[in-house]
Amino acid sequence: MARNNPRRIPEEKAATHEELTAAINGITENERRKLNKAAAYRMRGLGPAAMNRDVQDLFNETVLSFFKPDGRKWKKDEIDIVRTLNEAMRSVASNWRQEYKRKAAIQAPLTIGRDDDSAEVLGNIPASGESIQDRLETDELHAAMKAQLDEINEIVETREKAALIIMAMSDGLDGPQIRAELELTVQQHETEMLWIRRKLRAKFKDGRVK
Amino acid sequence: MIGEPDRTSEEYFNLMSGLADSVMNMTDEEIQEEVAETGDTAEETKNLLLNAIKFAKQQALREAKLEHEATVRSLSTMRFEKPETPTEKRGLIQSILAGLGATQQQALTAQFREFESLPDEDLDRVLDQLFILQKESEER
Repeated sequence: MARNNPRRIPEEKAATHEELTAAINGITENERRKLNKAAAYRMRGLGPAAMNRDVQDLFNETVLSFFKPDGRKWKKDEIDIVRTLNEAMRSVASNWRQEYKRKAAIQAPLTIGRDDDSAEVLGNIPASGESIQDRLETDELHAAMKAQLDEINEIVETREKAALIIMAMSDGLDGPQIRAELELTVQQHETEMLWIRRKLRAKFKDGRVK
Repeated sequence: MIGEPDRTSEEYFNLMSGLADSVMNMTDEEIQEEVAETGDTAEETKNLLLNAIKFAKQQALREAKLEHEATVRSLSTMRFEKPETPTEKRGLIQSILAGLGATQQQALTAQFREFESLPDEDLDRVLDQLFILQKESEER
């Protein structure tokens, strides 16, 4: 019940739809480039969970989340619009992933009572509602993710702090958690992240939305 | 137990999500470096955002329209109990009109305000409309 949520932003602190629209239209070129790159990373991270959605869908759903009755609110005086949109994008991507996992769980074939060998054989049979083509594409995407993770780990293996940061990020730790866990200052963390982003850009040419 | 593909996709999602967040801390210098290496995305993002605003506004309008249509449908299927005689009906119309706020009274047409001159056969229709008006203002 959003209405009773104590963390709910008071109406007077939240931007109106007109203010939100004006703020989005006023985003600078560099901020737009950041949003594009962040969106590209989020879509890539979804893999098969993107379910044929593209980056436009991510932007659409993100902005829509502020226009829904009882939807997200922008604390216009406290957080800038770009970070607000990034937070909302994270939430949309996470919801899509959860939705995909729920669908996959419903479609998953039952394995109860099967011995190990038969489970292995049956594991290659597509779940109900999933075509063989879908299964092959999903397997292919998982293989590509695995290969990319291996490549990233290979890139950072020569730089200890960067390697630890990548490991922590893969485990789902956010910036403050990583700094606490690895005892890094904000400056040290940012230096490592800059190095990581440069290396990944050189390797994957990932500055653009695919 | 979490399977290998699930673990891989979880790690990959987390990593990409973390990288997306880290982008927010990029300096202007780093962005320019990237533009030079991989091309510019400022214009295409402008269009993505413009399209998203248009989509969100259209979607919000569509949802509001659907909600309004559902309200109208539910009101049109309602049956209101009305008194039997024209005199009682006129009395009820008068008491409903008296109970309406000033703004609502102003919005009413002369037809409602001069209900005394209406023929008896129109009283049911006027009462139905007033009931709906009352119901809508209660729901607001």
